[in-house]
Amino acid sequence: MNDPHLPALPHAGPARLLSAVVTHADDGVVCEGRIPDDGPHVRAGRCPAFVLIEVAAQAAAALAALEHGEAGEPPPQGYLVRATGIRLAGGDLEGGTTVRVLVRRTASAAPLFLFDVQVQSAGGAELMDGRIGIYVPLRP
Amino acid sequence: MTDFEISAEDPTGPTLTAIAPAGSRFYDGHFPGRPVLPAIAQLALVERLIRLTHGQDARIVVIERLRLLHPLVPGDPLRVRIDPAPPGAPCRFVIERHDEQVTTGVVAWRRDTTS
Repeated sequence: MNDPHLPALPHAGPARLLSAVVTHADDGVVCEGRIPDDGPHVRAGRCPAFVLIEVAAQAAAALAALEHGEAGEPPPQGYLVRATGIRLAGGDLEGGTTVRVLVRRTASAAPLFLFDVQVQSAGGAELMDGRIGIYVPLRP
Repeated sequence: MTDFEISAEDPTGPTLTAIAPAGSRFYDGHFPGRPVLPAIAQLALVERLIRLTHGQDARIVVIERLRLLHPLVPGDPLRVRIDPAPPGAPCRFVIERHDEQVTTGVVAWRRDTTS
């Protein structure tokens, strides 16, 4: 079951990989996410580690929604447009496992937003770190 | 991988052409009413081509740079090309729609020893 504090996100169904907001500060958020155990990325119950980029992008979307979302409005639909310096610590990931994702906004030049991202296993092992950029079309 | 229709792949030459049709599960929930091919689906194509070229145990472990220049929608015909590279070395790739570059990047791969 998803955290009631998790803001509305444009992702739905199997594409939604965030399950909870753990903490939220001015320029960052810590979320809980889930590695898919079904769907097009799963091979023999395991997922390629680069799915963590999508988990991080959704955490960035959650941060944007927490800060700028408006009640009654659909969530802003952002697009991952860049990633740099992404290091994936391990091999394929076990489907269904929980991860913790830390996202910190480092630059805002709307409609482009840049974030430092880290993803850890439930036990605290580092799984991914790097930087991503999200493009959020401005609403008229 | 059943969610792309791979129309041509050449293990001796690092090129692959594919299409993710409207019924592909890559679009389930991404996004409702305005489907866009996720970046990780594009990386899956790149990794598939790396595995065809370098062996099925190859896995992307570094994404030094990824630039998504245009959103991809159901039915877009895609051509993926890589510059072959040894494990750990920069491996450039480009994804084209028709003759337009839509996604470019540099990754590194290593052999998976975990599975």
